[in-house]
Amino acid sequence: MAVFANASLAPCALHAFYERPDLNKTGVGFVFFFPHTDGLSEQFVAAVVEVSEAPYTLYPDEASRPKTDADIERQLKSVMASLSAPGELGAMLARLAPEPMVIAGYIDAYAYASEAGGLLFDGWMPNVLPASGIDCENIVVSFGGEDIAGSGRIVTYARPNLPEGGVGVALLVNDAANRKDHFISLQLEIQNIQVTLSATATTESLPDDALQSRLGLFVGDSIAQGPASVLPVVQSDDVVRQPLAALAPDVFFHIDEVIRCGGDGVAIMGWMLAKPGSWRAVSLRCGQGVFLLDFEAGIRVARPDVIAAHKDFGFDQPDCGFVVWVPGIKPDKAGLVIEIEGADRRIGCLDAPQPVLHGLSALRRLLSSAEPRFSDVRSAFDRVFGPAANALRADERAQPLSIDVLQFGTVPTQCRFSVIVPVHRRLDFVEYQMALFSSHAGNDHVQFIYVLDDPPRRAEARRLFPSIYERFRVPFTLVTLDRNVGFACASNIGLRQAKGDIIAFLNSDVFPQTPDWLNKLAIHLSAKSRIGAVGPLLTYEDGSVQHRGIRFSRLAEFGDMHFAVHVDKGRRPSADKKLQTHDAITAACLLMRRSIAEELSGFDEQYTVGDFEDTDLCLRVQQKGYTCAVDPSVRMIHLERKSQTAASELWRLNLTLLNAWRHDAAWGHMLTAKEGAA
Amino acid sequence: MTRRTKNDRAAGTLPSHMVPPLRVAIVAHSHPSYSLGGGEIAAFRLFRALQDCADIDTWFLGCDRSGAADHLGAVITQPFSDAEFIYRTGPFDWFKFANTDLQFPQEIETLFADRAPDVVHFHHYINFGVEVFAHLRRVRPACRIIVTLHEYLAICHNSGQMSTTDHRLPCRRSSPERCRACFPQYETTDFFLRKLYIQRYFDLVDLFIAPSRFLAERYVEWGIPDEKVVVLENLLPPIPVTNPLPPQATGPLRFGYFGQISTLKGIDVLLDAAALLQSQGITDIVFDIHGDYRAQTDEARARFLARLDKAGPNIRFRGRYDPDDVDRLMQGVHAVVVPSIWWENSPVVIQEAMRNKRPVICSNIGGMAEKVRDGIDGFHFEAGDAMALADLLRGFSKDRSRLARQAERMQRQRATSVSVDDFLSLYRGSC
Repeated sequence: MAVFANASLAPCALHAFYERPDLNKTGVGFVFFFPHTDGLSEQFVAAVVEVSEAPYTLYPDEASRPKTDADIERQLKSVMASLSAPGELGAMLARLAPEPMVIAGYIDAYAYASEAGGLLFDGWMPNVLPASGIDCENIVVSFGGEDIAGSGRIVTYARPNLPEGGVGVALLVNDAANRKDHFISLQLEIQNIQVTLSATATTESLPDDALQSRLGLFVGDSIAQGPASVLPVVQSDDVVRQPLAALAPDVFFHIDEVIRCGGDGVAIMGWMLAKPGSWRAVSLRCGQGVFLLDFEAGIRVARPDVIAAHKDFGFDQPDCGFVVWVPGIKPDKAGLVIEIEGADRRIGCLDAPQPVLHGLSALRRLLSSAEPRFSDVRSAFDRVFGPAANALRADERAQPLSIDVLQFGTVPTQCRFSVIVPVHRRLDFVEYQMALFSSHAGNDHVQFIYVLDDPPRRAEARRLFPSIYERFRVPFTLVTLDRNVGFACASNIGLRQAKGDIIAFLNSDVFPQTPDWLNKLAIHLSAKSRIGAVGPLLTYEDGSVQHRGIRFSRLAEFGDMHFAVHVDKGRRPSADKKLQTHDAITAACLLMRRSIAEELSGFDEQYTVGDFEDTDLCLRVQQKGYTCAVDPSVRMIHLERKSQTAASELWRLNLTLLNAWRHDAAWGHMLTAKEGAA
Repeated sequence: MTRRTKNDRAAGTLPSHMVPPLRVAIVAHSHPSYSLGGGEIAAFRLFRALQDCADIDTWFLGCDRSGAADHLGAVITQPFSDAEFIYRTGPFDWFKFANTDLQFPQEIETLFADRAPDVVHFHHYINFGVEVFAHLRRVRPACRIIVTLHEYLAICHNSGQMSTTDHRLPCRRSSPERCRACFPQYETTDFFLRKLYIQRYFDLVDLFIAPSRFLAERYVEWGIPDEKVVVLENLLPPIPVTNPLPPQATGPLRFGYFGQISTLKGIDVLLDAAALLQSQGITDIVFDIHGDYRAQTDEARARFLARLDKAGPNIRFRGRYDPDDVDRLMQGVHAVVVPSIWWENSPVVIQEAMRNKRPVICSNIGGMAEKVRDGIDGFHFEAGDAMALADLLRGFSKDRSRLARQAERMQRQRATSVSVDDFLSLYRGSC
């Protein structure tokens, strides 16, 4: 009630309180609005108000004078400008203004909400609404084609990273049909405030039901703040959602990386510290789908760094890190949210980072995340690394590959041999190889095929290879790929170009010392021979053995899987030059009849980068009833790359283990049986 | 190591007036019009001498590295005379001496096919690339390919010096591990491949000429078959009339330094020795330094000039000299000092000193020790040891007769010199 000299006014219609820093917390600023249709010239005497059931009497001070509308407006505006104005004050100002207040905001995303049967919008606007949840009668939504009108509800919520005075706004337009076309703006009016929310260049039209999970968090926050009612579609039950931090100090959780593996699932790396009994389940929400994370089916990783950072909380879980494979998820633009159900059934939510890596970098990151040993190896690969890598591989193989073929000189008309050399990184090795080949006789029956599996070096190759032909005058085919595909695939691409009766797979860092190497080795591959694959003796530069045959050995440290061992590696070569059969030979130099190579479809391209594809080929050769052999009278130098050690790069070791795992799945039983029989 | 001796020309079945002229090409990596290094000067001198031979049809192929001349497309041109060709060089791989110039193989083959040499004597393979031997073989399979080795480039990636990159210590032998220690940016396998590449083309060469036994031994150790290497000095200008200059009983003893002003050539050793003698109060020894410092780095040049500034009166810097004046200048000194700290091969300055009958005082290593017999052609001192040099020279000052006897001995020696006939017998393969 406001009391004037000769009149008193009805109860105040609008009120707003605001912080007054000059009062130094001893008091609070207020604005009261008493509607009165006539003008008022009486002196203001006092106001009596009841706030929270307590009566206050307010008296004017010396400076109080009636002011004009413009003065009031100006004063109120300056108050609003100097504070982060609460909605009530803005609403009051809007009410006082002779014209409706026009407020402009923006829509970030919209999507159809199937349960509510309406369109859900998410954006932001200046914070002027009188309450955080308001029903509206007439909302007009403009699309490219036409306008629709409907009723709905608007809810504001606190959102970080907005301009000063901004607030997040979520809006549901009821009974609106599913529209995907170009959204332009929507308009509504609330208590003399006209709100227009417009699209921007980055406004997203999301798939159906893709917006709820994103909004769930924020609406949850606003529940915590006050009694504002909620958009019914966001909550399908009475579950309380809150930020993950609310579960501390009983539960701490963090995601380091999410790797999307094609369309078939995601691999998640992170860590979790939780007091026993403080949590029930951890799930991953993607749109409307919820996927339970099963840590028992994942890989546990030691995380001393995490333990150290949380040492004051009394956790005793050194293997708190995890790598988990979640099949079936197709992450979309809406993103992934981790939901941890606490003991009291409240859900702690955490935005998972968006997956960003692809192809080889994704595989590398995946394989850098854990270091399984001994009996952990097989389960790690069976449950996580294997399926995730397979999904990544399938995705990659689906990418188109562009192949460019360039011929230098002419292909021999009578082509007895095709030498296939994949090239990566060291293009100058081709110079050395070709210089050597040019000193051999009999090149007119040889088709040399170089496969450049190194897209960044194509420009360098374009400069170097013409000079190689001009200098050495040995005709060759150059196949260039626009993607790095690895040894197996590159060799197979070379095989498809081959015309010779006999194929020689050759590494770029192998240099024949016996001039007539092709003919000498091919003698063993005559039509009647039972030899399916033959190779030479390979030595290091110092003349010691690099390869003269492969046998298999099981390594306990790596899950008891079978690994290739080079017989006599590092020793001086024996004087015995007789042909020797072996379980397998290296593809660093391997000759076979083209008919057999084609029958076997070359190397199995599942073997990534390199390793085991040659032993796999040799075992398949033997499955066909042939043998594999080494002829030590033919010698070559193999400058094998020395840095293959585990210490330097974990992912390389794990890649080898991945190939070993694949290999063992195919051949493990057979090799073990052979061992038993021997 | 067998030393080939001069032989008569092999007797043919035709009377001599009907024997066709021997067609000889001389190939160098530069041309005296562009630079005055020992290799190209020796090659060109040989070419001129062959031009004077009646039964020889000869021409010269050099290189222009400057990139200045641009005849738009023609890589082999003739800016000087009918008998001289210049290859305008392109991109070159200095690690394994590979020539990546796309036009070169065709053009050089055409040149060799047209000129049809019987013998091609290379004084270098740099700028052309080692592949040039294969290009030549392709068009002239029966041609005799001869290569004079002027330094150790095929063996040593450190500018062919066979000295280490860190402290410039003489290195006796290459290996992938030792080479990698000098050049850690390369792998041992890179040095293995480098040698593989060079030797693949060296295999096509019929004969290697080494100007010193020391160099010959290094290459045989490296892998060139012993029977393919012969020791023969480079051709020199005609021997001048020399005036003896015996040291007097009193008066200054003049020692001359001739050549590039560089650390490798021992200029610091000389300056240190001079400073030592100065501090010991020896006033009758003076050093005449004749040389060029323009090819040195800014830092080296500045260091030398600073030392000159502080040097005593026993050092006189006489600046650079024209090669034509060397005889006159050498005859103005009592002896010539060659204090190089690397092996050297067959330094031109030693040959010039001996032709002028001046004793040579040199380091006791490599090609120097080979060409200068201690007590016969001159005197040795411990390589790099300034004090040893100072002691030796102080001895000469005290006992003038020592140097006088040496000078007398050299006057009596008959000068031996390589002649063009020595080369012709190698070309004809008659030894």
